[in-house]
Amino acid sequence: MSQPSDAVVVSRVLSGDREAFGTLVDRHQDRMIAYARHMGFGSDDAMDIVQDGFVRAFRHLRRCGDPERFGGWLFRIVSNQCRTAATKTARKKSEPLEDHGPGLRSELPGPEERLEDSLTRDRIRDALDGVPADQREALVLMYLEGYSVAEIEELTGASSSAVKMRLKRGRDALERVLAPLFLEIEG
Amino acid sequence: MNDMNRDERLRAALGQLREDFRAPRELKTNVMNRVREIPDPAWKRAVDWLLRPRTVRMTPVTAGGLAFAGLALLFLVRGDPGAVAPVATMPGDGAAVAADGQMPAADHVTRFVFVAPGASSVRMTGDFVAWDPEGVGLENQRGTGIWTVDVPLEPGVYQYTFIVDGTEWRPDPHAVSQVDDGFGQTNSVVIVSGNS
Repeated sequence: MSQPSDAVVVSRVLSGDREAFGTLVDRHQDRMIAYARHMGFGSDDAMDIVQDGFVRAFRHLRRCGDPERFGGWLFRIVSNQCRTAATKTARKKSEPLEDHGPGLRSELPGPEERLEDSLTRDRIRDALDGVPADQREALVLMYLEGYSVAEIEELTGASSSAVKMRLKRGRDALERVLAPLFLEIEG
Repeated sequence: MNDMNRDERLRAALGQLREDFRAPRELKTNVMNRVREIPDPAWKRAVDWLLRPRTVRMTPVTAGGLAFAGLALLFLVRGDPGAVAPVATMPGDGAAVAADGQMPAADHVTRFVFVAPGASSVRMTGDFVAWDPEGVGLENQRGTGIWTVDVPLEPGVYQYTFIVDGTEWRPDPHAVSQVDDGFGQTNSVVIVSGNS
């Protein structure tokens, strides 16, 4: 049996079926958490941000102009929550070594290599954290979440030229900071 | 280094930060608990009150009189395309309409209202028709998307649900209560009292 579209579920919620909102939470929570974590928030902060984002979305659901694209609308809310949270609290540093996923190497690294990987990741994370928020958002969406420029336009509400400019500036800024690291790696 | 290589190098570097994050299970629980606690706005409570199924007791003579009055009123407002038929906005004051001729005769008529502007058909079914999928058809009041039907029901407690466009089962958001049907769906409840 096919699942009802987001538009159908939104319509149900708007007609008074609050429990139907749980379907929207099920569908979009992983992507929102991933985005908040990739934007540099720790697990607790990301959880708070995404929860607040969903509740905000519920309260203002009538303002969702295109319910078929509820996900994009929700993303903009969560993205704004991230910006607000970033101005209020210092972002937490990366999680401990054990919590990281696999790096670029396919084989399991030894302890020294793991430490090296961790230090490299910390340097990349610090470099990304130093990029202005709008550019960081574009970089995260493209390189970590795998979205295209067109999809980033839709998600962020920014124009195509603005997205491309943010990506270019973000890349330039990252490369400046990471140049020594690239030199070390490439010998 | 050309742009392609630069991009790949950056992609590889940032790729090291990629992790497969999953939302913790309590996220949904917390969100839904907070959503349930949000009070309905005043207008919603008013709409619920207006659209809640209502039962009126009427004799055949009264029903005939109301039917005539309703038709006359409909005739009077027909010239104004923006007007909403009074039968849609004043539950309980309209004429009784035999529902598909399948309803048992009763001197209690309960009006059901369902708002579905985009629907092409709305029916309702319930235990009073043994959950027949054909159920009872609602009428789109002058194309406003406000669907109504008057169903003769004896005093009692009934469960029902609406069927939009023949496939989508939807509970009545304005019902006095909702119950789990045991199959993952929600049924609405209407109480028909004997002294309306």
